[in-house]
Amino acid sequence: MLNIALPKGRLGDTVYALFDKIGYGVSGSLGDDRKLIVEDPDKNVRYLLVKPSDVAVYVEHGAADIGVVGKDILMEQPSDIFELLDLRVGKCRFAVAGKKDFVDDPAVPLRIATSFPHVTQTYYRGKNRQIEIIELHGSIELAPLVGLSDVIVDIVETGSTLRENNLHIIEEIAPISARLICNKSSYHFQLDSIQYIVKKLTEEIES
Amino acid sequence: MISTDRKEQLKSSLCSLYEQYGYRRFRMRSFETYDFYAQHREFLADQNLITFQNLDGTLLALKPDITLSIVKNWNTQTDGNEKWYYSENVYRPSRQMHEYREISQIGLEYLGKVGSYTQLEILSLALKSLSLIEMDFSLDLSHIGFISPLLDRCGFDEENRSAALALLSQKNEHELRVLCEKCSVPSGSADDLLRLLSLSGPVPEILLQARSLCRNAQMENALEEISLLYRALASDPLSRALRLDFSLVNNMRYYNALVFAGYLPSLPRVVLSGGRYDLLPQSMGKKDEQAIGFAIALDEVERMLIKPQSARTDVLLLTGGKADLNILQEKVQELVSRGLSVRVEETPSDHYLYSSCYRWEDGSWKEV
Repeated sequence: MLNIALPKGRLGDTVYALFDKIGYGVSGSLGDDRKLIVEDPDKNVRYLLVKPSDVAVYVEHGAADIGVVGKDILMEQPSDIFELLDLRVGKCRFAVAGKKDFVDDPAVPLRIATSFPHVTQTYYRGKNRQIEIIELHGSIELAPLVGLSDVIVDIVETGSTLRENNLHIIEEIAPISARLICNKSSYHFQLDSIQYIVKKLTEEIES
Repeated sequence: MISTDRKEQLKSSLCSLYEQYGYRRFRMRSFETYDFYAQHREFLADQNLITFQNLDGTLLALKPDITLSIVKNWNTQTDGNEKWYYSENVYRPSRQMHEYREISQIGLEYLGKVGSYTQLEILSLALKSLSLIEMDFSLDLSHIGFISPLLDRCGFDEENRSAALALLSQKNEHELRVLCEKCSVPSGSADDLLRLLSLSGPVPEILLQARSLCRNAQMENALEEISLLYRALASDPLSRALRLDFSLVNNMRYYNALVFAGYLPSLPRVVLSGGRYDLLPQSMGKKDEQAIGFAIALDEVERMLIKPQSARTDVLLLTGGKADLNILQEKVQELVSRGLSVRVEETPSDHYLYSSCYRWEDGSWKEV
């Protein structure tokens, strides 16, 4: 039985459609929002529908053999897994954003509001810039508007949320997309299924 | 059946196995100076240490690792090779729990002149060790001598070289490709490096494919070494579990040649990890010395071995406060002599786990 962890929500639905196309769909569909486990004994596959930030935890601990998770989550919580494929869906990017009139003064630590403290710290460590991180969990765009922070580090998709709040991208940090990850041990003992899935998904993505 | 501690049994079997091959038990105290570990911090899996002050004010650390101490204590002035095994507790942070854990680790070190037979013995013992834990297992082989030249040819600076190694060991082909482009690696060298990711599978098949990737004598020698070992191990039925995987790098600052990693189907992480680490004794000033060994993460294995059923006693005897002491004693002895585990209580409780239960009623034991 191959256990596949998918993120609940839009990304999970998009990715499931891909798996369905390559023959790993379950009879019926993922459908019902309340179901956490959907199994297809004939195809020998089981889907675990989990919170996006938990996918890598399931895979690292072997509760799922493979999973799909956004690169943003992998960057924020490095996990001991194999990252086998860039699925090229759920594309967005990490960026530093701030008010249009913001001028950075290198003499003063840069105050950054973010829900990705690890990504922020890693990025600025590489730039040798002193920073102060304010960890928030939502509506990050509000922080610079009320003087809670100088700038923010957040995920940007179209940029419309930033624009609506009179913020603009100062720097891009890294691109983000959905990645196929794999448990290191499962890779050895479920190799054929996993390699088949990687091959078929690659063909789908490239077409 | 009386439950037995499978973990202790396993430790005992592994220790006996190593002694049969001439390894002696290395014992050490629980701590070294903090400076000692700080000097060799790159060898450690995690740089967080439990520290405390000695009475004279020096800073000490609870041992996160045994290999470093074995190599430190190695008196290279005396003649001959040294063969040590250890079964010790180490203290490391648990990532998820944000706290330190005491982990039991069993390992093996061979110090001195590492010849072909030694490497054969170490691999053979790695295979045997895994087979003692579970019937189905996989042991991946790799060689730094094969990987390193390809990395060199990419011309990465130190930071990007580390990044490339991390991506290689994650089997992250797409990002490795992007990194090579970002660093303007010549396309031939980039393609060669990326080919390492496809060199993973049964030994004879991968050796054949790998030959066409050889760009210098060092790489050819690495393959020759693996080939020789594989042929010598062919008569051992356990060798069916061997695989080649050139994305395996371990810690390249200390490992310089053969490296290997063992997996079990029931455990999500690497269980056995080892290789040739000549660079460690050399970094400790023991020039021209060689070393090879491996360690087994018993804390991972432990989760697999302790089954909830072993907490269950075979028979629960409920006395109700009424059973005569002699009759009770007689019943207990009878059950014990039949090899059953017995628990005696006055009244039942949900906490008592048992297979069968008898209550003393109207002058006899009645099954409940």
